[in-house]
Amino acid sequence: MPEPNHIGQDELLALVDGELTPEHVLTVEAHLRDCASCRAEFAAFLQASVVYAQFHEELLEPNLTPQIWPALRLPKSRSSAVYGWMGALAAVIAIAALMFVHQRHPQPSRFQEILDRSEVIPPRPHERIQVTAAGLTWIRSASHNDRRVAALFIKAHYNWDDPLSARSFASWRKLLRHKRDRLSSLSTGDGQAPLYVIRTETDDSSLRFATLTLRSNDLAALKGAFRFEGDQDVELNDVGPESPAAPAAPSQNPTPLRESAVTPADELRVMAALNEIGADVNDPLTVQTDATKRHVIVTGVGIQPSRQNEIRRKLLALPRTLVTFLSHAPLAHPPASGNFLSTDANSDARRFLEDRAGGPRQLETIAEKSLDASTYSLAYSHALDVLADKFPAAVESTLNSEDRATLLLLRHRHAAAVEHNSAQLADSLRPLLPARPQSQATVPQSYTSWQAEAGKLYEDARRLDDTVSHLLGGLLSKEQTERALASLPDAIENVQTQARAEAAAQ
Amino acid sequence: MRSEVEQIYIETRASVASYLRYLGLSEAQAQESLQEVYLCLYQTLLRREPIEHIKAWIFRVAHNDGVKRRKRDKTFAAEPDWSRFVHPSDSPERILLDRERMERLKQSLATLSPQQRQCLYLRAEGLRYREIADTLDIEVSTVNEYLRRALARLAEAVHA
Repeated sequence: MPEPNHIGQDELLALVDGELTPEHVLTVEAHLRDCASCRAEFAAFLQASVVYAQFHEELLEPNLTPQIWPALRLPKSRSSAVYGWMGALAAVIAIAALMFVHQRHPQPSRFQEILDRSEVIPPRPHERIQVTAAGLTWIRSASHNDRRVAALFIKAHYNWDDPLSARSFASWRKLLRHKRDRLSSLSTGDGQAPLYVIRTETDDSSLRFATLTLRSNDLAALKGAFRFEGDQDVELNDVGPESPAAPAAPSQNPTPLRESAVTPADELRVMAALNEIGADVNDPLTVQTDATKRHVIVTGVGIQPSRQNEIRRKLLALPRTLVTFLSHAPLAHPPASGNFLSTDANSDARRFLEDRAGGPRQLETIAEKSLDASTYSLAYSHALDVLADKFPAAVESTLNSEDRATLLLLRHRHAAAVEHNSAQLADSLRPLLPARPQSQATVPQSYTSWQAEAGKLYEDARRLDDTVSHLLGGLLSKEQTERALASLPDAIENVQTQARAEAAAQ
Repeated sequence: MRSEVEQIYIETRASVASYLRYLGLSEAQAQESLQEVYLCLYQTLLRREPIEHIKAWIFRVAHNDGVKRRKRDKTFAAEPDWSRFVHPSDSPERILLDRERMERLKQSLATLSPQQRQCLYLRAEGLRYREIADTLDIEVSTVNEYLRRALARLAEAVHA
């Protein structure tokens, strides 16, 4: 029964653009289910959007984007800074730190023992300390911002001349009558010495709690987090001596913490840590080294707060890693309800696919599974390509054997995931594909380097995903559908073969 | 904060520069404008003023700055001649988008108003109607109307 009141074009477009309220979406979708003419109009809008997006991406942007990028010039002075304390960043770091402090060693004696031992470590006079407060970060004694922070420490009777040391921590703590101590240990998971986190909370001081992160092998204080009254947070980080030429005090276990520039290996460790929680592929994160090579910067866009905390927690133990989350609204993608959109132009194609699938419901299931598999295959091949980009042969050769092993592991995991997902894709699409003789696995003709192959694999996975989404999105005519189906077995096998080669490459 | 802005710059500069050039700025002018835009972002963040959606905010500032520059220097063309842009290698796999359809799209785009095209551009950049309206300083309902007419025309062209 056709509905008398059709949906206006403006509403159809708003549905395409995700601009309708959820209730409104339901009514419009209900109408679309029953009304072929509105459905056709909706699909036409969607198709026009897709073609325009392609024009935008493939023609406009490449022709308009400059080839060179001058560095951004920002003023050095921060005189205009306004101190609304308790920067969101510092707060989240503090919360993440809080959550990480397990009571694994509740015994106060152990706490006291570590504090006593670290208290006698001689001060390291030439260390530079990075201060983060109110969302700003600077290197200590290079900025007038110091004075404000100094005032907080002085008021709390905490030695500002040497704030990042167990000695100062201990003498502040001795002044407190009521306090709660906690000790926990963190494993850095990258073969480095584990870290101790000591923390004292009190109501007796304007410094409400202080947390110090100590490296277990030499008890050097690497990081301090302080919360003052009024929820003012200050974080201190040891960023090592100014010049890498100045040899640090002899330590049996030299670590990158003492170097002045972060290295590709640091980036790799961050990526490996993200991989352990599946965040390198499934979350919109980028990992980069900043222009001054002081930090590995991890930026996430539009990630749920709970997931943000997980990511922060995972990266907490890694030196010189800054994590930033931006709250971009998600891009306005067309709503993903019902995969196949029917129009007059492609109803033949739909019938054709339904016949092969064995019915409309079966087609829907096939579409869902295939689109998922294809998306994952694309995502993992992208992750592999990112590694290839960050670690060209020249950089790879600078890694030590352990880091090289980590890189190999990541590569193999990604490649294996591409292989697995493209196999899934072949599997789920099988009812639609034309029957063909089982072909023997082809060997890639010329394997140059894993980096070059990763680029090709990503390109091919992208094209494959393109074809699959157009095919199953109902965007092709019957003729195009048949052509796409005929091309798919080879395209999938091609991706699979390449992925297999990448998963075996050394 | 600096590194945060630098990071945002690296992530968003390509889309913002493209938009500035789409507005008709030369490459050099677009670069100058970019510096201005991110400096403004830096100062705003330092003042701790809330920014809801960074990309939309950047586009709004870029649009205003770009239009100002275009007015100052009358030698700018209104828009680059995108109808002459060439498609980077057409792969045989590009089954959906044949050349012909792209040509029809371009012809159809040429019949739209610059504002309609700007709406389409910003929409393709992922901006919401509200954000497009703020960028172009028009009503949300106007954005919807521009886009509706524009896409109806494009749909006709690509469907033909």
